[in-house]
Amino acid sequence: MKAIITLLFSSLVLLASETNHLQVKILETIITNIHLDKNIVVWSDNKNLLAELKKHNVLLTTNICEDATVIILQDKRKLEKECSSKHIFVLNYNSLSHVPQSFGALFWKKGRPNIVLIEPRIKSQLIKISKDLEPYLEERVW
Amino acid sequence: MRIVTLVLLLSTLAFSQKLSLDDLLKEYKSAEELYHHTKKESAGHIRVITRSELDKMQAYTLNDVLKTLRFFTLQPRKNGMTTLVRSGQTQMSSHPAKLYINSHELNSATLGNVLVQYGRMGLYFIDYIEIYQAGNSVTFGNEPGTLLIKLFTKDPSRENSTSIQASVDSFGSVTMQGVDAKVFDEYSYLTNVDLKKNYYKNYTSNNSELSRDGERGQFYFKFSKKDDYDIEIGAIKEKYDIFSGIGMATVDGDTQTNDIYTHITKYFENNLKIMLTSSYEKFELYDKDDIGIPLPGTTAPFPKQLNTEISTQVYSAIIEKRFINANNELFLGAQFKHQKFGIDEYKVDGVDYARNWGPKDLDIYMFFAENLYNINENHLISLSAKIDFYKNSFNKSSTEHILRAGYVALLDEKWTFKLFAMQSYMYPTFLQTTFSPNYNINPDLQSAESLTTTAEIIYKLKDSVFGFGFGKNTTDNAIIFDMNATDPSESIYVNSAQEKSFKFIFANMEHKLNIDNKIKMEIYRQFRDNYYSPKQGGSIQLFNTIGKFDIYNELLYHSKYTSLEGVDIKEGFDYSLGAIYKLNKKIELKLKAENIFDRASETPMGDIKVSATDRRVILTMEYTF
Repeated sequence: MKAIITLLFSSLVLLASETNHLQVKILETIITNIHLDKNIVVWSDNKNLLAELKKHNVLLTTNICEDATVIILQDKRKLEKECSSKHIFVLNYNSLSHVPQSFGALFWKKGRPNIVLIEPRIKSQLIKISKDLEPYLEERVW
Repeated sequence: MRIVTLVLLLSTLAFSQKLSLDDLLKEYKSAEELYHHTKKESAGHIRVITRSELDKMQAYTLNDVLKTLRFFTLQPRKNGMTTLVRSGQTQMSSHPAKLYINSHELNSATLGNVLVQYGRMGLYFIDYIEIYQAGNSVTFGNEPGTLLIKLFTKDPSRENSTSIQASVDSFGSVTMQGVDAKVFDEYSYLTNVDLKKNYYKNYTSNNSELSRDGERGQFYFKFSKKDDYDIEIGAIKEKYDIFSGIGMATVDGDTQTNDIYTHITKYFENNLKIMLTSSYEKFELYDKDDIGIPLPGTTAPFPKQLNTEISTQVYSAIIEKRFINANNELFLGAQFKHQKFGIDEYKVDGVDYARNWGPKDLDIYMFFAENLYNINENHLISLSAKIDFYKNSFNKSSTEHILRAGYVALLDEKWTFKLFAMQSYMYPTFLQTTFSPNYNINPDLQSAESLTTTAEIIYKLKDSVFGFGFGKNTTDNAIIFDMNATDPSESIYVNSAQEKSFKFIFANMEHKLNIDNKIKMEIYRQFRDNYYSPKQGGSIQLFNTIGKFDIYNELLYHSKYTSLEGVDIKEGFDYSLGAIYKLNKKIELKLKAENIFDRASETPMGDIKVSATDRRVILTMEYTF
């Protein structure tokens, strides 16, 4: 059934799977290029994203927010108080303004996906980044 | 030496990783292109112009895209507007093109040809375009068309920005465009404002200075609640000098159009959708001539001035429902459309001129269904039917129908095969039955009936796609323009007693050198009894990104032809080159040169030959907040 289904109903499902896969690959590339003084363990409020991260097995993940050191946050309303002081990477540019602990974002603007890392927040959170992430550094949230 | 090698290796790795993240973003963008969610392979022979392509093409107006379509030539019209002409045909040939913004069909009851009315539409708020040629699925609703163009607006959740761009060109034209799009929780909006002052090359004919300069404004607003409703409002106002007019030696005149529409879409659970639309359009024409304007019912010496104003109101309600079950999808739809045509002014030499006009009101009741069925894992069958009941204010009614069968097969991982057969009709337009400023109307015109069969085979490799297609159209009772050579004002549209037919073939290829660079090529040819416009043509498009530069090359070829008036026109070679420099994340500088050889295909108008695209250079700066 797989082949013809791409013509019909499941094309969107397959597409969603492909885009989810690429989004996870981008996030993995970013997270593996940051360095903390502790092990990186990732949690996300986006359950599909967390499942895909687990499947890839590139990053350590957890189902419990408190056990994580890095949070990938889709919806700022889902950030629990106990986790608000962790290193947070957001998936919406506006969340950078609303979540003070957020240090970077993967977001859509003008029809394109963008990466941004806020330099003062990275420094204050003692996050070290590899040279490959330097082009994405910005001084402040616009 | 080892240390040098190690440093080189490490820097190469670092560079490749940097590239990798940027490339991943590009791949992500490509995989997330919105057209993946709407493109319907079963709906016909489709071509998609993606957001990325539109950006690199610097497609400022719809005409910038239309001129690249196979089987068509973009031609200027005597009234200063432009139109698309199918290979071999003339501007007077019936041409049921359909143009949509999202689910809203832009009406053109007033001018009878939607591509005349909206060719200069700005595309700054458009994300991508789907084009279905040679017949299309009945699921798009409305009256049938042989060319269907769907413009999809930008998605606020992908924009999250305010952008403005300003352009000036070598003729002194100025364009200001803006788009603002935001998301607030489950609500979103998109706004577009587009203002232009256009200047074109002027001509001299019969001692008259011919100008098609003009100005236009455009507004679009969409407000949505996610998975609940969309409210869309659009408006266009434009005014252009009349160019060569409909007389023999125009000395003054202009055309003005005003359009406004609202479209509301309500989404329900279980794939149920209801749409309500209303639109109003007005067209004014003023033509003053030194020698005379031949008008129906007049004799020499002909009147020297014509003022006319016509309008159309269209109201439509559509209900659609999809039933999805395992490997079957059934689509059911019903639509009611009311069109009210108004002739608000028709003055000859400043005096009201009485003529018998045709039916001004038209009601259409439409019922349509389509079933998509997977025979097995690699074979899809599509069956469609549509019944349309027309009734006009002359109490004349007719029932028309469309039957369509399609077969799409994935022969293996590389080969795709498409076959479509469509029995359809073409209902006469208001400009044929009810009102024309300069030829006779025919209220007794009947629908033409056509049978179109097409096939396409697509061969896909990892980085390349090759396509080849062919087809045949046969039309009974065709609506043709019966031109009276001695007195053009006595010309009239009639139903042809002879069956009309044409055949066509096309071949195309797309090759991706890498994620930043690709080439697209296409050639086509039509076969018919007589040719009054280019019968064959081709295009080459190169899309390149080098560092911070996007570069676009486009060459359009149209064959030589002899016009209906017997004028020989040489081959057209329309070459355009564009470059975009991304200064930083906020500013882009764009430069585009159009029709560089000044050899675009021409159209005869009296003693001059005119191309739709002037040779010009456009400089643009875009700023994103």
